Amino acid sequence: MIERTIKILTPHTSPHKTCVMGNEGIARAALEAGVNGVFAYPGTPSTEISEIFSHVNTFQSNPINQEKYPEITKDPVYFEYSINEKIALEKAIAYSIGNRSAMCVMKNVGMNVASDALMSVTYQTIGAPLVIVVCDDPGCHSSSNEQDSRYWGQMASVPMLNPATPADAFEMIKQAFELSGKIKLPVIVRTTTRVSHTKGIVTYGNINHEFGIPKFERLPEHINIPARTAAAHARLLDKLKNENVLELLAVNSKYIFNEHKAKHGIISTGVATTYITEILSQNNVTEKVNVLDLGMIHPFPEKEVVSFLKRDYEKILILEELDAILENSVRTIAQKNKINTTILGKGFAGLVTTGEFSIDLITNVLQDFLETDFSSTENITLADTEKYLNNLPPRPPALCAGCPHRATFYLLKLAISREQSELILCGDIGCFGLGALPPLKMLDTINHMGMSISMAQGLFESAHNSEKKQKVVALVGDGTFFHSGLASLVNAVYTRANILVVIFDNRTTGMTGHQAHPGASRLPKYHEIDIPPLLKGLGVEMVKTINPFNIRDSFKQLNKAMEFEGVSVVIAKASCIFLPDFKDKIDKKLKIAVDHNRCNSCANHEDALISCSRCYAPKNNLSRAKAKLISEISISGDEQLCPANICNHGFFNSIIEGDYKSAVEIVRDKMLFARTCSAICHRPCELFSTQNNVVPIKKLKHLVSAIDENFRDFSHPKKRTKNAIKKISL
Amino acid sequence: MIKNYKILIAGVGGQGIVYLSNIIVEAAMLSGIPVSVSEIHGLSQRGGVVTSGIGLGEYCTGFYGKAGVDFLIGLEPLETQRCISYLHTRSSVVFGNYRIQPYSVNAQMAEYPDVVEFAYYLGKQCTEVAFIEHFPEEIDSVLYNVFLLGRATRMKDFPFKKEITERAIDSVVTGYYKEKTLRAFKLGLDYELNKQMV
Repeated sequence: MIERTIKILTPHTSPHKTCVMGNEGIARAALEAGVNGVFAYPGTPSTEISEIFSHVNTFQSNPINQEKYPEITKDPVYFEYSINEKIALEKAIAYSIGNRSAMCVMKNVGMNVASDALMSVTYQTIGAPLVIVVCDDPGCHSSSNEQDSRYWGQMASVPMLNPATPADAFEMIKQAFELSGKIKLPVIVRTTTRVSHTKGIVTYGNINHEFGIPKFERLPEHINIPARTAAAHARLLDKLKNENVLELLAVNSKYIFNEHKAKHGIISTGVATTYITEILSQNNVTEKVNVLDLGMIHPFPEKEVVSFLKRDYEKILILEELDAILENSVRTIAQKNKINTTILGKGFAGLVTTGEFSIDLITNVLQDFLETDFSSTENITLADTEKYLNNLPPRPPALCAGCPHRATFYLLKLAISREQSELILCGDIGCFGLGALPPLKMLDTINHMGMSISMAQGLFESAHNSEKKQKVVALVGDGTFFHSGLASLVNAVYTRANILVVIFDNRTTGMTGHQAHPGASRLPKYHEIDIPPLLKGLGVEMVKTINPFNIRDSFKQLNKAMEFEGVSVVIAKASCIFLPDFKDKIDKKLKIAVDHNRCNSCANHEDALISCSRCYAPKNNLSRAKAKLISEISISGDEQLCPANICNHGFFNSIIEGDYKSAVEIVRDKMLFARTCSAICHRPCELFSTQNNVVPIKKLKHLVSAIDENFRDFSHPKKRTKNAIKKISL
Repeated sequence: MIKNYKILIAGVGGQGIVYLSNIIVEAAMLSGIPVSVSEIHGLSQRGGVVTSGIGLGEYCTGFYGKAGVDFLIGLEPLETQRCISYLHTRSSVVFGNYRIQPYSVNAQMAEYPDVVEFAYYLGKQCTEVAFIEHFPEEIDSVLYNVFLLGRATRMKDFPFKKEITERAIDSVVTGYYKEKTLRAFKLGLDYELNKQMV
């Protein structure tokens, strides 16, 4: 990691070609533009940008590095993971007003959180350059929606750049810094997953060290009051007509494949351009079409588009991922200028506003548009692919092996019967959201960051006067809790909601790659905030911290918190497996073995051939697990001595939990004739018991085998026969 | 300048797919070939699918579509099989039989496909297929990626010569692992396939 940091900080006096990921190019470009401070909240696909600055900041503030690398550690770049995007942008704005250039980085949905800060600063003024990087996620690879952030340009009236490649992104970040400084407006650079997570060749140059001198000017623009806003709005719109803006619009409106006069024209933006250039050149049809790539999309490059429209094309195709923003603007301009060329866009040849583009989709679109068949240049597909593609097992993401969230979910599964109770579990964004998928299936709702606690309050309130009134559970990760859950919790306490909040505290922002947050700062530059005193200060009366791996104690605490009337909070605290805190505790040579003196389960699994844990009964038997957890006395496994190898503890525990059918299944797991067994067995398990109170296993067996309906289901014995080594027919 | 050429690396998070693509990118840079890579690794750490498409040549992106991949390096057999619609009759494939079972298979809700049968199928369909049924024991499983790269380098249509790939490894890998990595590469290079499988 240190080598990568040194690489990104090293200035090059002559052009240096390198192949980097879009996000890395963005970080480097900001450094070359002389950024002073970076403010961010992590979120895929934007995270790598902020991570680089986090490493840069740690590297530059280390005294050893300062001595060893004086050149690249001078004028260190400030960096912070703010608690959410709104705070990040607000602080970045203030930093810029303090005359230091700033960059604010977030993912698509982050811009929604930050938008309050964006929408009025544009009426006011900034100081040093301020660039906002927003990374969209068409196709929702890792986001809760695929919103088109290009609207923010129009909405907030700020210049917006939309790169197609890492090299574009690199250039545009530099342009954005320059423009922002000149017109005193924030500039947005919007990327998509396929730009941010694509590697391409970028040319590194020198790093600008002309750092702004901190100063605050008392300007009337810093006070935003209604009397001034109308005039400010007009001033803002004037800024967008500034010559620097017009110049940049011209620079970023590029003609591609323009050597031949063609009947077909394409206007495209963003990653659409890269698809077009590849497909056209691959199929040798570059002569048939002219392409205009628009890299700057707000304000709309009217002059450039009109001159393209006037080039007498028969047809013009607009290619852009997600919404028809460019298309609608082009149609408006065409109408205004009375240009009658056919304009095609969404709705043509399968172009829709959802999902991301692909080579296959755009190949079809271009074939239709150019009325040309590409099949002569295409490769021949393999035969019978369906046979090998159908029924392939999917590979959905799952919680990591050893993840503490699994333990917490297991506890919840034991404490809250999903089959028998209507209790609602409101989930949130983060790693633990994977608990919504099978086999856990422990979440009923997932919305956006921090919604879980509000959802629980609202659902509780909606049932307030009905008979169904019961506690609602909110589940939230530690990072999300600080991002936006905290404010919602204040509201819950304030409105006397009856909810249980379980904070899945794995000591990091897990899903995005282990960034710091106020509850788990890890770096000396941050001050760590302890959650329990914070909650107590808010007036939460019941706050319990549990170690989810200590199942017996945690189960008790969780049940108490469920019973509590009012807001109760359980903090399931155990570190993520990727953190040093977890790794240091693990002895890698450790092997797992069963301690028969403490095991309260069957010992039968020792007999490998008739392993009881291979089949249905023990695996899915939660009631048995629950009984095991709350039992006061534990009986050693090797005392069972059942000649038929039946798991007596499982059998008994199922009965305690009232799950008679499982009890019968446990017997039938080994012995199909459960009734006969209960009649003829000489009950060695009872005779040899060392406990004072003998458990009447035989009587119990008699009891459950008298229930006829439990014998009707033969699916499990049938399933077992599939793997049986021997089959006996009677 | 070579004609546009696409390499796809497929596998599961943690197998070193991005690492391998870094080496190939370096090889392209050393050869002066324009290169572009597209990776999908959103949930890689949670055991999800990771793919990396590498495009060599001007205007060639790392994106891939139907019958658009010329060379496939499969680090995991199931993920190799998932990619066959991207292959064409002149494609080359190198893949290893190192299985990482998804949850659905572990929970006996789905069956893992028959890898050997699939290898025979692929062998008949594509120009050149190298199937590593058993990785040599001396190789650490974290270096299977480099081993496969070594085997790939030996194949007819692989766009880089042995010396270039070796130099790329030398410049990408640093410190302690360099020697081990180069050794895994060399073993892959010298690996003789089971004749019946070819």
